[in-house]
Order: sequence, then C-alpha cells, then structure tokens
Amino acid sequence: MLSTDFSLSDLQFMLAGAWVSLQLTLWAMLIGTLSGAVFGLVRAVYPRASAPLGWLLDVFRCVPLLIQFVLFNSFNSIAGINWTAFAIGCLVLGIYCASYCTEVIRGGLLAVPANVVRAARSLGLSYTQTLRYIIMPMAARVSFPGWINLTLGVVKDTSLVLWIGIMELLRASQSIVTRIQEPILVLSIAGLMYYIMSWGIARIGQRVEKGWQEND
Amino acid sequence: MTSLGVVVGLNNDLTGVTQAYNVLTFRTFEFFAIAAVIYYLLAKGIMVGARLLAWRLFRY
Repeated sequence: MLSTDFSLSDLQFMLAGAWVSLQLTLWAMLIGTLSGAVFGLVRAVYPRASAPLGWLLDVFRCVPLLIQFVLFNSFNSIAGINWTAFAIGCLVLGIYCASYCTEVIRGGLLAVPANVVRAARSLGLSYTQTLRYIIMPMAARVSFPGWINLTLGVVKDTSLVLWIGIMELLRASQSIVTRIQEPILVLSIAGLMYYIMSWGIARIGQRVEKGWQEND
Repeated sequence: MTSLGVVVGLNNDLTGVTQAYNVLTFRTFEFFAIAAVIYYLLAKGIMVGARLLAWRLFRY
C-alpha cells in the first residue's frame, strides 16, 4: 500500500498543486492589475494629492511577502473574519501586486513625452480624449514588459503561501518528499512545472508585444 | 527575499529569530508585526543611504 517511489498519483497531486498556484496567480494579478491601474493613474495625474497612497503602497513593497502572509493570516484569526487560507493568499498577493503594478503603470504614464500631450491638445482633443487615445496606448506599450515581468515574479511568489497552509505546488511536492525521501527528484519536477508555467506566460507576452509593434 | 531562508531552516536571521519566538510564545501577530517594522526601517535605511551616496557621487 505504502510505496516509496514516485507514482502517477503523486504527479496528479503535484499537478493539482500547480493548478492552485495558477489560480492564485490569476486572482492576484486580477486584483493587482485592476487596483494598480487605478492607483497608477491617480499617482501619475495627482502626484501631490496621492502621496499618502504612495506611502501606504511603499509599506507593502518594503515588508517581505512571507511576513505579510503571516501577519494577515494571524490577523484573520485574531479578528475572527474566518476567511479561507486561499482567500487570504489571494488578498495578500493581490495587494502586493497592486503596489508593484502601481509603479509599473505610473512609470509608463510618465514616460509619455509632454510634447506629445501638448500636440494632442493643440489638435483639439479634450483632456479625457488625450488620456484615452494618446497617453494610455503609449503608456501600455512602455509598461507591458514590466507587467509581464511582475506576473512571472508572482508565479514564483505564490510558492510562499505554503507557509499559511495552502496545498499549492511547493507544499504538495514537500509532502511527497516527506513520504518518498527523494527531494532532488521531486523538487526538480516542481521546478520544471514552475518553469513551464513561466515559459508559457513569457511566450504569450512576447506574442502580444509583437502584435502591438505592427501598429506602431 | 532574504526572509525566505527560514523555509530551508536558516534560523538566525530576522525571520528565523521571529519564527523561533513565535513557536516559543504563540504570539504570532505581535512578533511578526515587529519584524515587519524592522524590515521596513531596514529598507528605508538602505534607500536613504543610496540617496545620500547618489547625491555625493553624481553631483557636478
């Protein structure tokens, strides 16, 4: 019954873990990108008024992710909110993504030359039209590689949720390691899975970037 | 990122020490909040140091 070699069901277990990792990435990037886009726009357009927002997001970039997970998880228990560990993981990763995504998008918006904006305004476009048709498309091209970079980072950062007890890829492989005592084999397979996930995302990013270049 | 050392058993860095106190006293939130503050101050300190260095090095 209890075998000590790597079986097919172990692989299935790890693939299920990889799926949880992907779900975490998806939710984190969704939360992070939506709020990061809004925050980035606010930070670029009103740099003075949104300085407190900048300080708040700065905290999430300064404190290590592992500590943030533990803090939120224990705050969850203290306050008695009773969210699942998965929801906590999504929330913390989402806030973390938002704080980085804000800077990525703010950088993109600030990279649009002021003369282009002036030219658009003098051609008769209103401020919102300039923002919608001139600034945003140009900023998207600048910040997209940074955003893909952030996504790739988040795929790997999802492995940290093992600390708060979610069965994702790394934790699944660790529990297999405790049974069959072959860390190098199992962790190599886990590493390969992470590599394949990152590679897929990087390829999609390259595709999109190439598609955008044709219109420039 | 250095805080990840604790996962493979590094136990004398800031996170490792925090975790050791955590398993000793079960006061998770307090200890990790203190660790977070220390990490924040460290990051800010490095940032201020880099700013000073840049101001010193890149002036004409």
